[in-house]
Amino acid sequence: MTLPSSIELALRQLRVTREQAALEFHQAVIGDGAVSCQRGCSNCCHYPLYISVLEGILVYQWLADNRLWVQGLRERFLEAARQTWRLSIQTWMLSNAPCPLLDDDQLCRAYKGRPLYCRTAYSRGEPHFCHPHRFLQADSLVARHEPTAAMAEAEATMLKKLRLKRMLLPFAPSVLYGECVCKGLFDLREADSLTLEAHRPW
Amino acid sequence: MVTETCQLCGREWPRDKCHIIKPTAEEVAQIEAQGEEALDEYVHCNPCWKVLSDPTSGPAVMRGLFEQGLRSAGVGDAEERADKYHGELIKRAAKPRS
Repeated sequence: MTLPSSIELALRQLRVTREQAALEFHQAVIGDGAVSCQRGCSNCCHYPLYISVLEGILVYQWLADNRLWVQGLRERFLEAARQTWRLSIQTWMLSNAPCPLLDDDQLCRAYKGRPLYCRTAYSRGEPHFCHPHRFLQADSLVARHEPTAAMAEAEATMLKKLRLKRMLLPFAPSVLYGECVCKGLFDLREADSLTLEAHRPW
Repeated sequence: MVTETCQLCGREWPRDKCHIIKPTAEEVAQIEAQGEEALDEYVHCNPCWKVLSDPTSGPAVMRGLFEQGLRSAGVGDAEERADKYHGELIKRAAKPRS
């Protein structure tokens, strides 16, 4: 199933914008001082994460292209979607629920295809304080409003041209809707809160 | 449509889509013995209940609330106490219900 060319073009532009925003932010953060993130620390993978359906398509496509979108992983996404759909951000934060992409070694299964929000997560303090239950005790996580806002703006402009709405959804539902769009089960051009509810894959 | 306020997230939610717990006389006595006033009903919206009733995420939510409560009360070893509380909750969650 191929996507409409206008959406394919928007996806390509979004991928480039995301790479650029992540790289610029990475250079700025590294340039400003030491980063304390370590391999295997997954504290920031337990935070609530909302992404647009467009970025959900990018994550799904990356997983599918790399033959990682297998039954087991899809089931993890379905379970995460059941738990996070319409959940308040506070309860999600407290639930310490892991990202469905996190593997048993606390590493991301889709590191090279992860969303911008994850690419711009850096800790400068004691990583222990990045845990969602201790988040308010220290400002370990580097503020990342700048790159995420820049991408949101770029995405909104792209979508406006296509007369599409920009909808932020919890991570797992967004990727699952991405799968539906790519398989032709759901038309992104008809997406609004009612049609999303009617096409829930979980 | 009748709505209720979720006890966890504070949102208004349709009553027929809430999980409502009515404490037994024994539970009321236990709550009052701790110096708290027992409510007639404990209401949770459906999304919160999905998380609270899960044997992994339920104890995690309660651990987080417990640790933050202790910290705001100025308890120094809040984290250790919260870990201990979490361990107890995990044990209870793993126990089969009779």
